[in-house]
Amino acid sequence: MQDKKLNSISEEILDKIIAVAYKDTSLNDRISIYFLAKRNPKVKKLLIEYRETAGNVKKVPLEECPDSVINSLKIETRKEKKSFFIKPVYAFAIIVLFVSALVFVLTNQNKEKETVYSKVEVEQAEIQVKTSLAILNKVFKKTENLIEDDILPKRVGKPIQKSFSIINEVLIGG
Amino acid sequence: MLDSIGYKTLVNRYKDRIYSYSVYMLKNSMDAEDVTQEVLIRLWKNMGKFKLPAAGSWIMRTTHNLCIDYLRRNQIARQRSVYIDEDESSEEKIMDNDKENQPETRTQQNIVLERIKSAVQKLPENLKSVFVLYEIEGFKYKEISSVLYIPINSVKVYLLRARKKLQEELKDYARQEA
Repeated sequence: MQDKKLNSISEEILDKIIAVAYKDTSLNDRISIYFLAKRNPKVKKLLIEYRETAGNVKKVPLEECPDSVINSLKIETRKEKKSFFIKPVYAFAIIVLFVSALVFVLTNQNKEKETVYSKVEVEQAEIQVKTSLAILNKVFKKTENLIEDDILPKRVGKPIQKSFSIINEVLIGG
Repeated sequence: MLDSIGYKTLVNRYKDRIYSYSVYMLKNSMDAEDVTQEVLIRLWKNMGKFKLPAAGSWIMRTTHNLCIDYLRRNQIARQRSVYIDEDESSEEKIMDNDKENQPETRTQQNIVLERIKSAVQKLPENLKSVFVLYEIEGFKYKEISSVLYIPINSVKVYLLRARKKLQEELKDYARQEA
């Protein structure tokens, strides 16, 4: 009867054996299973088997993530950074900044055109303008004289007079 | 700026965990890379939306959800056998290396680890997620409970079942070899 009990291991005992083998239980259970294993070869065998597996399981290393995954991730996150500029709030801020910079530059350019001249420069300019106007006046006068004295009487008046005398001759007959 | 520093720290801390979890769940390194990338992009987009101490749970929950989506969408079941075949070939490669005067104990250890990985991948999804998070990724019961949205007691039960199932799988391996 005692032997039969020793040979058949209940589920509860088996669970405890596994937990002890994986070092995943209380000290109390460890001690009880340790003594049970000493008395029962089947328990001992199971404990050894599970302990060996547990030891090997603990040795299984993590699989190393390939570098290619991380490298492709860098590209992805860079793409994400690009979309930062597409966000409407940032786009609006950038446009406002750009417009204000443009306005500032334009207003500054207009200010630069309003240069202040000295008195001497103004006087000199006046003299130059007067001189140029005098030259123009002289040219106009000369032209006027030429038209009045030379062109009108000789080149215009004379042919007209001649044509009138021809017409008179034809109409009156001498 | 602070977000960027926090992000880099989180990526360095969790990238291997995310990738490992995805590999175990999807049994396919290409899909695992895609999931890892997607999780890290989502992390970048959601920076500041969660507290940093809770980042681990958020990251692993996102990873888990994405893996489940992947499994549902792509019907990966067909690809599983291919991946397991790949694993077996890697075992053969290790055996071949042994012939090339590799240290015997190290090779033996590698074979055992490959076997365990393969056996873990064969576990049902609900058991596997708990097992990988607890045994391989080092999360605690409470964290796993918040990642998978299941009670702590369920986490304990799933873990126990996963350990039993894993032992059976390894016994099958031993039988096949014998």
